[in-house]
Amino acid sequence: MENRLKVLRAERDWSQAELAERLGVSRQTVNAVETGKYDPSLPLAFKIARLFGQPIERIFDDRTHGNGENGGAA
Amino acid sequence: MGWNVTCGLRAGTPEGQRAVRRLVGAALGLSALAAGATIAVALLLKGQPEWPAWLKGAVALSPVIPFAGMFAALARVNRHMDELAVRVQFEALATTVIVSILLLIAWGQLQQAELLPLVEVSVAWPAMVAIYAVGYWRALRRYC
Repeated sequence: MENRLKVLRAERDWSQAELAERLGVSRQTVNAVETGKYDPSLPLAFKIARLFGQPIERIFDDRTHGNGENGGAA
Repeated sequence: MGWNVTCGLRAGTPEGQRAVRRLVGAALGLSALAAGATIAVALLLKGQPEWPAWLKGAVALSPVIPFAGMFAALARVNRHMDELAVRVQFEALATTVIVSILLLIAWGQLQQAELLPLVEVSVAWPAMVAIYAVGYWRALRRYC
C-alpha cells in the first residue's frame, strides 16, 4: 500500500523522530510506513489522518499494490 | 547492515522504552537463572539416586519457576512495545513455533526409522532460541 506520509511530513518540515513522537510510535515504525514496508493498524492510520487533518484515503492508497502485501499490523 | 537490530524491541514513548529495557533485562536475568538451575538440578539429581520420588520431582521441576518468570516478563514487554515491534516479535515467534514443530515431527519420524539417535528433550529449548533468532532476523530484514 502506498502513502503520502513522507510528503506530508516534509511539508511540515518534521523529522521522522518528530512525527514518531507526535504519533506515539517509534521512529522505525514511521520509517517502515513511509517506505511501504509496513501497513499501519487502523488506529494508527486514524491518528495519522487526524494529525495531518486529512481523510485516511487521501493519505493511504490501497489500489497501487493490490490490497497490501504485508497485511497490516498484528 | 541496513536495518536496526533493536527495531523489534521499540516502544512508542520514552517511558515505554524504559519499561521495555527493564523487562528485557529481567527476562535475560531470569533466563540465565533458569539455565543455571537446569544444569545445577541435572548435576544434583545424578548424585542423589536414593532421594524419595516426591523430592526428586520437586527438585527436577524447580527450574520451571524462573522459566515461567521469564515468559511472564516477556509477555509484559509486549504491552509496552509499539505496533511494528509487536509485528516483528509475532513473526519471529510464529517462525519459531512452525519450524520447531516441523523439525520435531521430522526428527521423530527419522528416529522411528532408526536413522537418527534418541536425543534429550533439554536440547529443544536452545534450538528454539536459535530458530527464534533466525525468525527475528527475517522479520527485521522485512520491516526495519
